[in-house]
Amino acid sequence: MKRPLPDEPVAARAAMSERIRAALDWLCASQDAVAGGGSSAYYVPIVGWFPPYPETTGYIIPTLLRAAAVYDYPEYAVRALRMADWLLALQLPEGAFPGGLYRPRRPGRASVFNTAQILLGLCVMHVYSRESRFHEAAERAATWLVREQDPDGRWRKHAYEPEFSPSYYAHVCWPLAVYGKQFGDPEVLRCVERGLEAVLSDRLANGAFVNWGFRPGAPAFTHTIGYILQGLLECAVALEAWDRYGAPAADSCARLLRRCETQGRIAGSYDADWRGDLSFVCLTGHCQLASAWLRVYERGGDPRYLNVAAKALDEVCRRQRLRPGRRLHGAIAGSHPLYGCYLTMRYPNWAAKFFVDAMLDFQRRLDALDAGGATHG
Amino acid sequence: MADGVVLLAGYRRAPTALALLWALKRRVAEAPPVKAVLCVNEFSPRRWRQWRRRLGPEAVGRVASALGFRTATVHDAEYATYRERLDDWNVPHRSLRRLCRELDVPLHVVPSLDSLTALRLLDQYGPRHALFTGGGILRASFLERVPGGILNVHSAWLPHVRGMNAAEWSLYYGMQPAATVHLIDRGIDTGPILARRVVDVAQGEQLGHIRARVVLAGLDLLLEVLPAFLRGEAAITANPKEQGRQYYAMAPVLRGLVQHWIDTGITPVCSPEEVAPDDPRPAPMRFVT
Repeated sequence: MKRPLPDEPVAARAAMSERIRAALDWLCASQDAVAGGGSSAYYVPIVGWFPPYPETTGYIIPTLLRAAAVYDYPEYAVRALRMADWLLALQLPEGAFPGGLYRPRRPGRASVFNTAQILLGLCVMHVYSRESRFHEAAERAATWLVREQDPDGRWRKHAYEPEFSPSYYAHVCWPLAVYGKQFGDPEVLRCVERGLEAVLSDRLANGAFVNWGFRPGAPAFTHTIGYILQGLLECAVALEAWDRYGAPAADSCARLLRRCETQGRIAGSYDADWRGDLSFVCLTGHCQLASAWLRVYERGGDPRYLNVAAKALDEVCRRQRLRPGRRLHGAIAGSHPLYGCYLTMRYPNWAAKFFVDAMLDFQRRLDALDAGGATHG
Repeated sequence: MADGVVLLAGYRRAPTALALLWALKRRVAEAPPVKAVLCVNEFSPRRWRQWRRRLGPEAVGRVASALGFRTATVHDAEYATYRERLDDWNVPHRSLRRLCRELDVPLHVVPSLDSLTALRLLDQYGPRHALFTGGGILRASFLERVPGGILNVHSAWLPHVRGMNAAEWSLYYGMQPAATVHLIDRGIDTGPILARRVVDVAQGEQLGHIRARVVLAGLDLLLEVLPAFLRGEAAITANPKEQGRQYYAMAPVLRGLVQHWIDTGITPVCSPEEVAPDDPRPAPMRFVT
C-alpha cells in the first residue's frame, strides 16, 4: 500500500482523511494496549507494545481534541480525557512530571522537556473541559519549570544529558507561552522570553543551531530541528512577536526548504553545516517540518512552503502502514527504512501524532486555497 | 553570425531539440550554421539521479514517456503535443542521432554539460553562441566558453516566475502562462530577456498540454528573435535578480488543484504584466470563471 496521495483534489482529500483516521485509530490502539489511560510509547514488531510514555501522551491530547472537533467524533475527546486523568496521577509533588517510559516499579525522575509537553496537553484539556484540576496541575508544572530555569534562560537540570541545555528547548517555551497567555501569567511569559533568547543565541549565521541534537555537538535528527522551528514559530504567534522569534525561524525554514528542494529529499539528520545524512529519513521530523513550513506559509502566503510541506507529507503517506484489520494499520515508523538511525525498528506514537497534526494543517490550507480560488471566481 | 551555434540537448529524443535543429536547418532563412549538437547521456547514473531529484517518483514514467514509450502519466499530453509539432514540421526522425546524420551535423553524447568532454568539445568548435534546450544547470566554465551568450526558452514570464514547473506556478498565481527567451547567466533564469509571449489557456486543458504549448511558443519566439540577436540588433530587457522568486517542482497535490481549477472553468485572464513580480499573495484571487 505504498502509494502517494492522488493528485486529483477530491481523491486527494479522501485519501488524506483515510490516512489521518488510520493514524488516529492507531493512536487509540496504542492507548488500549496499555493499562491506565496513557499511550504506549511505541510498537516494536515481534516484541509488541511498550509501556506508556507520559511526555508523548501529554502532547497527543491536543491532537485528539482537535481531531474530535474536525471529525465530530467525541470518542477521541473521551480518550484525551482519559490520558489527562492518567497524567494527573503521575505528577510529582514538586509539580514536575517524570521522564522516560512509565514503569510503576521504577518511577522516573523529573524532566523539564517532558513536563513542558504534558503542560501543553493540560492547558488544551482545560480549555476543553473547564475543569479546575487541569488548571491546578498546569499551574504547578509551569511554576516548577519557571523555578528550574537558570538566569540565562537555560534549563540545565533535569535534562536528558546532565548540564546540557539543547536548542530544542524552544519546544519547552511553547507550552509555557500557551500557559502564560491562557492564564495571564506575566512571570511565565518572562520565563518564555528568557528561554527563547537563549535558543536564539544558539542560532548560527547559516540558520542552523548549536546543540540542536540530543547530545552536545551531535547532528540533529529532523525531529529535534522540528522541535526548534515549531517552538519558535508557535511562540512567535502566541506572543505576537513574529519579528523577534518567528523571522529567524522562518529564515531557517527557508534555508532548509532550499536545501531539500535542490537535493530532492529531506535528510534524516543535519549537522551544523547543513550536511545531511541521506541514508534514512526521520518520518516524525518530516511531519514536524511540514507543520513548521505550513506555519510560515500561513504567515507570508509563499506557496513554496506549502509545496515542500506537501512533498514531505506525501513521502510520509507513502511510508504509512495501511492494512486494515492489522495491528500496524495507520502506524508510522520512526525511520525509513525501518532500520534507520532514528528509533530503529520502532513505530512511535509521536510519529502518528505529528502526522495527524501536519495533515490536518495541510488539509485546512488546501481547503482554504481551493475555496479562495472558487469564491473569487 | 558566421561563427555558428552549438545546440544543447538534455537527451537524445528531446522533441524541442529535434524541432529546433530541424527549423535551423530547413525552415529559417537567416539561421546560423549549427556546428554541433551536444547531448547529455540520459543513461548515465548522474543523469538518472538528476531525473529522480527533479521529478521524484514520477521519474520513471516521465522518462519512459519522453523516450517514446506509452505510459499512463499525465505527461503523455505534453509529449503528444511535441510529437504533433514534429509531425507538422515533417521532422523525419524522432532521435537526434538519426536527424543529425541526415542533416550532416555532428552529434556528441556527453556525460554532462559540465564534463571535461563537453568543455573540450566547446574549445574544439569555438561557437560564438549556443541554444539551450536542456541538460542541467550550466557552470561558469561552460558559460565562459560561449562568448556571445547561450539562449534559453523559459516557460513563464520573467522575472516573475523562475525555476521549475514555471507554467504551472504561473497558473497557480492566476497569471497567463508565458514563454520568455533569455540569455543564460550564472543564476537560475536571471539572464537578460530578449522576448516574451503570453499563451492563452482553455477550460479543461491538460497541464501537460499547456506546458508543451508554452515551450513551443517559446521555440517559435526564439526562431523569430534569433536572426536579429545574432546581428546584434535585438532589444534586451533587464531581468532584475532581486525580483520574482525561484520555484521548484510542484507537488502532485498542488498540480492536481491547479488542474482542477482549469477543469472547472477557473482560467487565468490576468496578464503577467499586470502583476508585480514580488506580490506575495496574487494567488487564486485573480482567477475568474
